[in-house]
Amino acid sequence: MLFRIAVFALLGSAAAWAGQSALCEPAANIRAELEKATLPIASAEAFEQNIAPLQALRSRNPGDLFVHERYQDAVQQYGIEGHLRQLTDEYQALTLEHPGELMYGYLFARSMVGRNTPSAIERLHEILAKNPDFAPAHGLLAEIYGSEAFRDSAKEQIEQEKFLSACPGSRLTRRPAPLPDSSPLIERAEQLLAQNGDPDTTAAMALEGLRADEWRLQRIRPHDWYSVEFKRKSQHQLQAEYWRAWSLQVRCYRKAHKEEKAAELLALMDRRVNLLPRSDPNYPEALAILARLHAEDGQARSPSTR
Amino acid sequence: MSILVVLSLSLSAGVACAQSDPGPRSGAPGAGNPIAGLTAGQAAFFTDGQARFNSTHGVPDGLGPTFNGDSCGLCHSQPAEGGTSPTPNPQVALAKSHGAANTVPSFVAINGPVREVRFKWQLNPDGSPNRRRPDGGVHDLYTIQGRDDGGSCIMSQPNFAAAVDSHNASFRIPTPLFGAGLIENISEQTILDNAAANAAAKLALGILGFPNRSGNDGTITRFGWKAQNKSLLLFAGEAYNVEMGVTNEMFPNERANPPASCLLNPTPEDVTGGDSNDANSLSDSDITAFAFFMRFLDQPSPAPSTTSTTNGAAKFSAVGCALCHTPSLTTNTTIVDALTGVQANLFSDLLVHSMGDGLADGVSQGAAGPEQFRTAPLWGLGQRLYFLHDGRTNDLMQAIQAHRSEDSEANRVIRNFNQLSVKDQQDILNFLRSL
Repeated sequence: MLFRIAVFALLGSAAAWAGQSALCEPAANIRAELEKATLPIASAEAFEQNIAPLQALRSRNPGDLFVHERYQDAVQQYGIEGHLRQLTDEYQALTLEHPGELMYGYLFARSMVGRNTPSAIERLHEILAKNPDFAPAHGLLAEIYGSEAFRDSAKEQIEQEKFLSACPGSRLTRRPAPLPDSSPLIERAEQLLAQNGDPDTTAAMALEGLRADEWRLQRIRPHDWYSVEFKRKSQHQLQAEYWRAWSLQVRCYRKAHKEEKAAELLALMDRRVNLLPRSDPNYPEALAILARLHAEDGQARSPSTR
Repeated sequence: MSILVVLSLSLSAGVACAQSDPGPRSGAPGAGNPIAGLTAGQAAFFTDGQARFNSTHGVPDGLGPTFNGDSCGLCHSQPAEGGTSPTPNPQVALAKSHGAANTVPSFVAINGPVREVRFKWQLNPDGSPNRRRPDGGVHDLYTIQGRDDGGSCIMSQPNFAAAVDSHNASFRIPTPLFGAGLIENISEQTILDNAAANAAAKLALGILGFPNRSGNDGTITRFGWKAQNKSLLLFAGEAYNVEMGVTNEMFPNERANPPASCLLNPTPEDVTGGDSNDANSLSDSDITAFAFFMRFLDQPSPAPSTTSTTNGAAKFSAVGCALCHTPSLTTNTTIVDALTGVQANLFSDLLVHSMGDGLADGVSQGAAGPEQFRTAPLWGLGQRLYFLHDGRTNDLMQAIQAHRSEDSEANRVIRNFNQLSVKDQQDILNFLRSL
């Protein structure tokens, strides 16, 4: 009798362990497919192309937790505000289609991480109140509590221990992912112009730099990982780059003998500086840029000031 | 007198005295200033609102994904900030501004008015108009695709050529905003009393008119070409979202169902308290600031009277124009002293009238049907460049004649006008250009 109880206990725990194991790591075939699907195939800003393989994988494996998680991570990595909004809507719809199903409830909460993280935390705790052994929720909470914005070392340790006891050897992810560096292209374009580079190439390079940094700002603005002050500072930094890029463009137009376009852009810059509040950190530099551009044009007038 | 002499005298009289629009009044703008008597605080609201009104927006500021202009002042600037369509038309350059990939539609010309376009009917899947399903909404001219701050947004412009070809497009030009605060503070009773005044004369001339009303509280609405908007705040919020794509606390959702790749900002993009509803910031939302700017804009100042304009004013009343274009209404008591008890010389009864099929635009708003429009205020007309709701003409004479068409309430008045002598008609034109 005791032997039977012991056997049953062993089988039971093995089954439980097997179940938990399925929540700790993807199956081998899924792992292989995930590795193939998550290689970026285009530039970081090309969201549709980068997300397509994971969308396809998700269609083939709609019940696989790890496929969903990787899909969500890719949207967060490559997407902008609209994509992130769509992600949350998508997973909310899935919870309505699969009411009471743990996986979808968890994934919906997960889709809010970094967007409305306090809500995500609340939902994860609700899930764990009913499913205390659900390792993925513990892991995600450990990651959240380990982030700078939501740091709570005591809670992080508790969740980490619970996760690792269920999934020994599994790894947690640092949140948020590191931000990409600011684009070097505007600086390179300035150097190219100084070296008498082709004006069209130089202007295109500056524009590419702006696009890259706009996309970088999209890694910051929609997320609650970052403070309002950090977001504001990043915005001002990007705006400073706009002034540099416009200045480059004006010089490139002049070099390419496109005086009318140069004058048009310069007039736009003149109007814009007049609308900047004096307290704007970019205001002095914008004025200085305009003064230089006007001086280079050989004109006596200086930008109008309020 | 010989026949030849008589004929030549008649001919020369006809050529020398043919009535014609003297054109926009030159000189300093007679508008764009704050109303007299504002307190220091109110003046500060005006100045802040004016600056934001003229602020050029980029995508990070909330512009798009679709838009007709990138600042309020782009469209509302003739003859001064808060006015109507300027020239040359800034929408032409805007199409490609910041690298955008837009095509300028056929109805937007460098020497034409700033325009928005509405579709009369919703579209079938094949793009043809479905005449059982009214639309009436604004379909913005441009998208942010290709702009240097537009990310990877891919979003096409609507097929305007097809809309024009299928007579599904109707146009509107910006309404001037001068004196808007005075309009906002004219009491309902004043409007209704004026509507009831001169009943016999109105009946004889076929003039009816009725107020448009809010579907929410039943009160009289008064802003916009069809008097469809209730208040300046609502007007500002709607325009900010519709014309520039900036979602706000009044209108918090992006329009035109844009693809996810074109949604670059959290919404609403204009909020109280600056970034993220920061409770420590005391800044108003942009739409609140716009409302203050419009509210405190003074009415336009007319030119000094002359013998011609004095006669023109008299004839304007005599033929019946003033029965709809009421010369003045007085504002109510308000919390703003500068707006209290002011004679607003707006030349409008603020009522909606049937203007016939010649001016019909196929759009209903509130109680105003497809051929019904608010009596356009004529203050400031002297310095306007384009007339009527769609800016179809820059000639005042043509604008007057356009009031006449089948089923228009203005038919008999225009007949009276046409029966005036050439000199009297010219005096009316001179009078209108003095406003």
